[in-house]
Amino acid sequence: MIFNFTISGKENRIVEFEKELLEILKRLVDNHDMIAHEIHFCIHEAILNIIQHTYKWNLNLPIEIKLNVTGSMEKQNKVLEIRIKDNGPAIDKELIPPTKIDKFQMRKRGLYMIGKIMDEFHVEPIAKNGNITYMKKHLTMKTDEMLDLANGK
Amino acid sequence: MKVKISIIEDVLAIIKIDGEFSIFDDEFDLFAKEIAAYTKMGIYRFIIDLSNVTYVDSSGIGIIIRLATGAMKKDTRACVICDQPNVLKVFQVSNVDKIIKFIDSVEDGFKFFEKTTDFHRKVDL
Repeated sequence: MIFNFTISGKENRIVEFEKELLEILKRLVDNHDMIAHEIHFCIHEAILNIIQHTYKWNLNLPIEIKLNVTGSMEKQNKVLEIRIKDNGPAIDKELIPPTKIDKFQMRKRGLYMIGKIMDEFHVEPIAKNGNITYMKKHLTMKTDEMLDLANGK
Repeated sequence: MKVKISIIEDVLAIIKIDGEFSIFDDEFDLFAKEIAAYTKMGIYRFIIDLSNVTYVDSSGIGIIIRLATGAMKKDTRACVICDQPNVLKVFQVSNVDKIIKFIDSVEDGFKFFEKTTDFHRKVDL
């Protein structure tokens, strides 16, 4: 299953997209709302990262978002891959999220959080213009993870 | 995002936020500036009521960190009311839960600041 979106324009277009995205994510994770919210948060932060650092708040530039779902819950191999393409200047080298962060640190906190939530996350340059933000999340929960969710952990 | 700020006796601010606490919200910039003005005025006792917040992003978390930093410099904590699981999860994943004080009500916040600072209510609020 593949979902493609392109967003550009004002903040309200991004807000509208994110609402639609959350509904799609809830369906993809069989209404485990917490997981849907976590993935939604990561996509929001990735878009914010592009707008702040790559596009320097030029909201007219397009951002392409592709969700690719493979496997199934029944077979316990359901995986969501997210690719977010921007058209800004290519970064010098692949960006990997920090694994530690100071408790008062503001910068890179969004990247750090994505790294903690997602199973895979990096940003890589494509040619001279543009970058791909790649994220991957296994959607099939193990029994202990389901218990944690039920207990609000 | 709707924001209501009440200043108590010039030294304590109660901030109630409803809706999405996100940088993409139209009100966010103005709110960030207001907060900066209050901290410049020397206010460091903050009770932030997020019980009606449905979503918070890293920019919203950034404002909470700013308030928490100011409070910790004065040997106290920024107080946060929040019972939304997905918002609590963001606090936990960002490690910000370690630098704030979670409380159940505004009244708990008053009691906390009376205990940890020289704040005393002149009248029952």
